[in-house]
Amino acid sequence: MLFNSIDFLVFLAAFFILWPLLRRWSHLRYVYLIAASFVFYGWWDWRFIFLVIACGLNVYLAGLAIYHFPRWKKLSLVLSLVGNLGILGIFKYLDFFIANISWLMGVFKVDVSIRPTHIILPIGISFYTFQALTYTFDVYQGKLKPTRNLLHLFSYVSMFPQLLAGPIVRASDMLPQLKENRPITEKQRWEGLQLVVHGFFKKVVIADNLAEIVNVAYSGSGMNNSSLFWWIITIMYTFQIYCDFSGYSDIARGIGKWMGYEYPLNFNHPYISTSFKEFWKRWHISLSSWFLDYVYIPLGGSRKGQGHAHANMWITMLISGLWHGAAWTFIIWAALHSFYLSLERVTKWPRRLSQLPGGRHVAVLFVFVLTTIAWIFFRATSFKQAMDILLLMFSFKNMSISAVSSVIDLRFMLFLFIIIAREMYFYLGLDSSKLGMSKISVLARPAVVSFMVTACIFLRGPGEAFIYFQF
Amino acid sequence: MSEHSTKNRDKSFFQKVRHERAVYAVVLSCLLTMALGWARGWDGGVYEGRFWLMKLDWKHCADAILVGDSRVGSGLSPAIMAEHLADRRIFNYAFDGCGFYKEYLDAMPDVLDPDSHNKMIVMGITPRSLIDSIRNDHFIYGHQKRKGHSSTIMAYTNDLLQFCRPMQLKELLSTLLRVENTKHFFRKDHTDGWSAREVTGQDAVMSIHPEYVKNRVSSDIIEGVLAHVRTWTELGISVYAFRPPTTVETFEVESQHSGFDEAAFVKSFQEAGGIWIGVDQTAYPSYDGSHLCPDGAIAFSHDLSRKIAASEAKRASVFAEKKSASPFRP
Repeated sequence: MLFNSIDFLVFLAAFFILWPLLRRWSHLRYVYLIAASFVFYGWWDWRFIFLVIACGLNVYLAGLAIYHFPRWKKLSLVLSLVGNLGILGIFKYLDFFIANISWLMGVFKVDVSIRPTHIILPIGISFYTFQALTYTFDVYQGKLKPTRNLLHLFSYVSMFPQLLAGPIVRASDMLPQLKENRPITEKQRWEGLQLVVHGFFKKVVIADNLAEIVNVAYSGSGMNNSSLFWWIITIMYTFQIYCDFSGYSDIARGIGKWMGYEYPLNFNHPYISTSFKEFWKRWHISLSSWFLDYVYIPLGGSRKGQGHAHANMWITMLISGLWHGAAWTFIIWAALHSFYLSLERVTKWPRRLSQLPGGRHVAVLFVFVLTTIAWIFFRATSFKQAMDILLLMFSFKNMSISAVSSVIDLRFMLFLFIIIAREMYFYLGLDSSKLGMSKISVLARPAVVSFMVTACIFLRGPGEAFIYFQF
Repeated sequence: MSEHSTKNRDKSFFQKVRHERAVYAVVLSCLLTMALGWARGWDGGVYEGRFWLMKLDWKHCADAILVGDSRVGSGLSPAIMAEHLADRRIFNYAFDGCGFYKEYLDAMPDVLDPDSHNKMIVMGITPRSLIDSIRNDHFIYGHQKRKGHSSTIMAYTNDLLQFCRPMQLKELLSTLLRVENTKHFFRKDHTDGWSAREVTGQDAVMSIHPEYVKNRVSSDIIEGVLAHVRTWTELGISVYAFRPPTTVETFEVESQHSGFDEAAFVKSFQEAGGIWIGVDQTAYPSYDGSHLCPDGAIAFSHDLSRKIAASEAKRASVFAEKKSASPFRP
């Protein structure tokens, strides 16, 4: 079920009619939450509910085995990982693997024809698999005592607001919250509403409208030969993916607050970062910290010297690239970011640049432009298309505004301007200054929210699925 | 326990929340939405998101269907056509951007009522509908969106969705500034499948020309159409076809660059059992250089249905003559 669909709005309204009543009793609360989550997930294809169940049962049994049989805890962990990552591998990477094997066989002139399976990728499988694995890891590391209550665990694994696209909530953060029945405060309701409205605004007004022109540009029906056009499209995609993904996270966090739960912040204005290290602390924070805690540090982190630290970082980033999608373009995107991070570690350019007058602004611009370039590989349908676009962008041919104004409607530029202005607002620190929203009177804030709601209704773009659903 | 908390506990839920910021925001949002929706005006119709799903849900309900791409979808009103083709339930089963590929052709007979004695398929043949390009149209898109019970929910909430349908920025500004806008942003999707539109400021020729840089009319698609026409006529379905009217510019671009040989197609179509109807290509007004505006669509619906009715009458009289001349007549 898409957040930006009438189905979801009806579902949400129905859910919150009974939630304040049923959340008082823990077992009823779990059952209600699980049932609602299964309806939410099964709306797309009910058969895939069994994947969520398999994933949950796997970590439930692994958690108990790790806790009660300490001698076999490593084996239990490995079995749990093999089970869950195996399912993920089959559904997400099997065809990619087959295609690459076939290609490799072709290179060595070995005639083996393996047909791709064309298995449908279940929405959000990477998210709920990784979320469920935090339970096994946390129990293994002794941070969490396994729950005996299967309903308690399933209400965490299948919880609908962040099931499909995060934030990836840690079991050690969420399971204790699910046990409690704290009253929902006025502050939570208000903050929840603000998050939901901001999330919808980012998704349906900004991302969906920008998607209209970006999709046409990347569709391949006649490549535009203007460099300026591709620079604008690339910047538009940079903000589209940000608004699409952070919009989902905001909506999920807002709904969580309405339910009485706190999800972690997932995006913290990543495009105002002064370095790539900072960028990854601001972009998809829950996934970055997942990889940091469960891949980078177990690999050795930076404990074994600079060389190892670089290697571990590259491994972690490349896995992260593959997590996003089974295609070489995602791996190249991750490799580019690894390169940026390595270069930054070696040269320490952000710190040096920031010491110069105006250097901080240049650093932000530099990080933004390089991030934008990396996104081309993320969006392109093939490596060739990405390279064609890059070459065109850096040929600086046909940079006249007239070549672009006939192709890109002014309204798309307006939506781009709105989101850039919004990020500038935070970059310049206006949110905490006297001019900022925090100082606006109590009555004016609901007015701002209601204007945004009206914009979400009447200025919404064509209903696109969330980009991160495919991961 | 403090006096305040005791008082608070005694209050009802609504008394507790009525002074909340969230409540102010929700009430204000509703008022703004209603004001803007009313300022734009209400003309009924089917919500666009539901429109395509509704068409996909049609099963065994029609005597005659009009099929093709957006030029058929916006250019033919079944209600007007029914005035000349009496006793026929006519539906416009056209989809924006749709071509005559197998899935679409296969779906057409399912819309016809198997018990009908007047089964008819009327095909609007544009060069674009015969291209085997990327299938990114509302027929495919609708099928992808059909998951769950969206169609049912949309049917129940149609009026609300239609009231809150999105508007372009220009439309929003002209609504707020009270500038006359009905002529510039008009779109009304009807329950019989006609999508009446008049959106100014668009130039379809600009987008049509690049389509033929990479794509040409496909002989495979034409073969598919002819094979289906043969099957349908053998099953007793009357199959008519015409080239939907457009403007001189679009007609010339399509004739020169698409590789569509109309004369050869008409010949093959007639050999397959279909009846071709000649249409004056440039006699009807268009709003964007490609699609007919509602007035043009109404006029064209009258003209086309008259021609079909005349053809049907002629066929009936020929059939009656043959029957009376038959040596096996009782």
